[in-house]
Parts: sequence; C-alpha cells; structure tokens
Amino acid sequence: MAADGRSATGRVVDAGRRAYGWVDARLDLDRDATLLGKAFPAEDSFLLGEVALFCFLVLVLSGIFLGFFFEPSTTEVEYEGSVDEFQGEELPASYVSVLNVTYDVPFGMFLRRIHHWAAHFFVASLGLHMLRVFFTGAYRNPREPNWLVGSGLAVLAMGAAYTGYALPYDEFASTATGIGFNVVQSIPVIGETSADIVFGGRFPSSATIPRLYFLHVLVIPATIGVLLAAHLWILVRQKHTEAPRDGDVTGGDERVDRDDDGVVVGLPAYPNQTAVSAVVFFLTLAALSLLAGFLPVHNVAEYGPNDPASTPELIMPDWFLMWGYGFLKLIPSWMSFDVPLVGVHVSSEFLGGVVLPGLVFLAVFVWPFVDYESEPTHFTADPLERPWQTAVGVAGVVFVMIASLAGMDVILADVLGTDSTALHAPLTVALFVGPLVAGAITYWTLGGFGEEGGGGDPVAADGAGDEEVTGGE
Amino acid sequence: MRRELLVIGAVVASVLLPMWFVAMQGEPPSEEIAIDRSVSDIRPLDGFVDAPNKLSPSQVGTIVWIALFALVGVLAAAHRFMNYAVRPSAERTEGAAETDGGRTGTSWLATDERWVVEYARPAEQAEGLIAMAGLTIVAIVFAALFIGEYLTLARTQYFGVYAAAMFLALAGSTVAYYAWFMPHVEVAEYRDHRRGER
Repeated sequence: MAADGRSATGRVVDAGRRAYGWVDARLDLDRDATLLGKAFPAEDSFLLGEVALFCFLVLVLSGIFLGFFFEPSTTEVEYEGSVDEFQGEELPASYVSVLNVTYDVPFGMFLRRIHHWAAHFFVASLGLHMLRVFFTGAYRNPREPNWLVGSGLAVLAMGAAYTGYALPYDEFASTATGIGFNVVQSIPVIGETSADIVFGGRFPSSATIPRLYFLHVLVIPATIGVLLAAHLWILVRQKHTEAPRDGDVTGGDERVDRDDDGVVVGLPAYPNQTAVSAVVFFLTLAALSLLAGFLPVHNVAEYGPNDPASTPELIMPDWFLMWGYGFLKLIPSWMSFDVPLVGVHVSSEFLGGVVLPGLVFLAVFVWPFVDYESEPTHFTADPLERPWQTAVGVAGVVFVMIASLAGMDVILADVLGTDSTALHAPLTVALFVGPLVAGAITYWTLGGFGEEGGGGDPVAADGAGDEEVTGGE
Repeated sequence: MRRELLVIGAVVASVLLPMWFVAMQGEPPSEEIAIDRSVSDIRPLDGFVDAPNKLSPSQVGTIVWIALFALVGVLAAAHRFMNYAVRPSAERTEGAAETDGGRTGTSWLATDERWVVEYARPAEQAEGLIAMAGLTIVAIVFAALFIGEYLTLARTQYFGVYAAAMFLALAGSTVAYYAWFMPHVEVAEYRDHRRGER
C-alpha cells in the first residue's frame, strides 16, 4: 500500500485511465468502442480465417527479421561462412546471405523455416477457409464482395510465395522460377513486356532477384494488407454468417426467433472472442514452431547455388502451384497454333500455364453470381442439403488434385515403374472423367437425381427441435 | 456421422490419399550439410531426433495439409471446450436476468443495436488459479530455455520444442482463464442494413 492510501494496482489502473483519456480526447476512441461488443458466432470452422491472418502476421514479422540479412543481388562474392562445401567459392550474394542467416546467425535457421512454413500455412489455411465458405454457401448475397476480395487474397498469397521462392537463387528454386518466366513470356502480344516487368529481362538476369524482392517484400504484402483490411471491414459491416439456431433465443431484452437472420448471436469481440483468438494465435505459433524445429523447407544448402549449365533431377513448383504445372505437363505441344491474319502465336505453355489456370480462377471469382441468391442470406447452409453446389465443389477439388498428380508425373512414373510420358494420356482422361464421376456420385448421394436419402429433412438434419435457447440455461 | 458425408469423404479420399502417397515420395534421403565448427559457435543442425535434411515441394505440401488438419482439430477441441465444457452451471446463471439490459458494467456490450442474451459470472474456482499458475510457470521456463538456447548453441530443434511448449502453455493458460475467470457472455445484435426491413 502506497503512502497516499491507494494500492499499486489502483495506481496502475488510474494511470491507464488517464492515458486512455488523453488518447480519447484526441482521437475520439469512445465513438468506436462499441465495436468491441461485435458478435462472433462460436463456430469452429470460422477460426480458419484467423489462422490465415496470424500466419500473415508471422510472415511479416519473420520477413522483417530476414530482410535485415538478405542481400537481393546475384553479384558473385566469396563465401566465408560455416558450410564446409562452399567455403572459398564465389557464389551469388543472395545465396550467400541466405546461407549466412541460416547457418551463422543464432535463431536464423529457425526463423527462416518459420517464414517458409507460415507461407505454406497461409496459402493452405486460405484455401481451407475458402472451401468452408464455399461448401456452407457463405459467399451468397450480400457477401459476394467479400468472396471476391478473399479470392484476390488467395491469388496474392500464391504470388507472394512464388516471388519469394527464387530469392535465395539456389539451383532448385531458380529452375522452378524459370518455368514461371516461360509461362509469362508465352502470353501473346504482351508476354515479352510482362516478363520484362516482372523478371527484369530474360530470366535469370541481374535484375531478376531485385525485381522479385521488391514485389515480395513491398508490393504484394502491401496489397495483401489492403485487401485484408477490406475483407475485415466488410466482415464487420455485414457481420458474420451464423449456423442455423437450435431454437429461439430468449435471454435479454428481446426474443430472437430461431429463423430470424436479421439478428446475429454470438460471443462479444471483447473479451470472449479475443480470448478465443489468442488461443488460435498461440496454437498456430506452436504448430509452426514444431514444423520449423524439425522439418527443413527449401534447404538451399542441399540444392546448391544456381547453375545455368545444369538442371536438377527433380523439378517442380510449390505444391499450391502444382495443379497449374500439371496443366503444363498435360497440354501437348501440337495444340500450339498461329492465329491467322494477325500472326499471333498461341503456345501450349500459354494454354496450360495461363488459359486453363485463368479459367479456374475465373470460375472461382464468378461463383457467387452463378449460385446467386436474390435475397440476403445470413445463415450458413448444410452442404449435404445442397446437392449441385456440393457436387460442383467436390468435382473442383478432385480436378485440382488430379491436375496436381499430373504435375508430379515424374514421381508418379517412378512409383508405378513406368515412363512419365506414358502417363499423360490416362492422366488427361482422369482430369476430365474423375471430377465428373466424383461430382455425379456426390450429386446422387445427396439426392440430386431424386433418390431418397439425400439432404433429408432440414429440421431433422441439423438436430434442431422446438426448444428455446434461454439465457444461462 | 451421416451416410452421405461418409460417401463423399470416401470419394475425396480416393484421390487425396493416392496424391499424398505420390507427393511424399519426392526427395530421397540426403547427407546432412557438413559444418565447419571453427567458423561459428552455434550448432543449428544439432538435435535429438533424426529429421530429413531436404523436402521437396510436394512433400512440403502434404505435410502442411496434414499439419493444418491437425491444428484445426486441436483448435476445434479447444474452442468447444471454451464454449461448452465451461459453460456456466445453473447455480452461476441464477443472476443472469439481473445482468440484462446493460447492467453488466461493460458499456460496449449493450448498445441500441445490441443486447446481452446470456451472462454468467465466472466460476473463479481454486483449480483455475492452480492451472493458470502452473501453465504460466511452464511458459516462463520454456521462454527462459529458449533465450538460453539463443545465447548458446542455437539448436533449431530445441528452439522448436521450447517455442512450441511455450505457446502451448500460453494457449492452455488462456483457455484456463477463459474457463474459470471470464464471464460467459453472449450478445445478439441487429444487422444494421436489415433493420429497415424488419
């Protein structure tokens, strides 16, 4: 107890109130304080977006750390670090800087791995988040804008990972990045110019790494930040979707009918949802720490520096671009053609690397306008009660997985003991037949063909009764 | 589990599992990078478990998805525990009515657009305090080990274990705080742009 009769805690609280008052007088914090009570429906799957958000935060923080050590240059310098096999060799400066941060900076290897795993987690959690939104119909009116923003975020996340992939300028990544260069260059009319802008000339040129670095650490993250802010602003404005209620909500001043989606019920942002988010944050960091501690990702020392005179035995892009790589593998070269009169050449690289992935992304972007609701819908749907939408989703997932298998055709050929070119025909057939079969089975299972046993009675399906949800019971 | 879900799950798994199997064949085992210990005092490669030295992007993809599904499972379990297992008992909800109408003492919870539909005082039991104290000590111990590792050998595997243990302890501590010391609150609020249609 202090001399003025107040406890230390009391004085700290008073100081906090004074500090808040000082800021509030200048920024009018109280006006927006009610946002702290925003309702978050307590749905497990709604936390996936938070996993993605926290991965982005980890990426920014670990990226800042790595940025202090990374040198975006291909200028040859002599390596003097602790990796035996490269000592005394002239190596690209970017490669040397990554070796240094990995092997000679305390904590460097761990943070570099965290950065990589967080990048992969970011893309995967975004993908799973989108699948959740897709299968529960949470993109429907009025949430089409947020689906578009979220889809843009997914594209940018892939772009961020791709531009970061080549930065160490190791043999594997530079070769894989070269595939991207060839794809960009294959775009009719604007290909050369686009490749010049992104890669700074014919890949790999001395401008490539600085150009990709600029995109990786500034342009793309800043754009992701803006889109994330837009995503959250729209979410706050529209409020969350909500799973169908078990019954009427009778606690408080006003009864909320079970079917009234004009009201959202959930945990307040502060303190309850904040605590849940803290748990998501800590568990995400724990998962990333375990991965980073035990599993290497993109081990540049194992791959060695970029060597224009050789090609690694196994070449493939990051897993989330594997499906696009699969298209490249499956589109035969004879599909290239020249457009008569205008003299434009349309190559198989352009068809497989730009047109087909572009159509996939186009389908994703326009989906809310295909499965369109004229009236605003705020309750999530049960995927088992939406035969054709769920069938399309399953078909899409199977399509991407088979295309990814095609991207790994060399490994698949090894597993099957055959030649990879012999697999292209069956994989092409599977790419189109597999999704159709999977979609048809899904559609049939859910009663889409009029069979019994599909979605069933919606009331029975969600286990709802007529009971009321009363406050505190 | 509903039959439809099982069938659809089997359809997806029939492609997913073979794809994962193929993807995991990516890179054969390789020799560990040799380090010249006269150059640096740190030992980032030292550890207590044999781990792969190299992973192909396809292997990384499979590992990421399995890890993400595991994380989602743990998150769901923690979330459910926080929202259901620690839900207030009848004894503690007797006072729920008196907290309605903005008498919770927290100005942001109840507004013209929002009201409290469920409020229960925290249990504030001794076991909560013990759990939080224990987990806080665990977090501090592993944070100290982490710093110690940073200042000495900087072994990556140990960083991973210490950091993971620290974050798990912090997550557990937060769950314990939520379960025993946080009031259970639920609010309902209008969706603004719909009000005119009501």
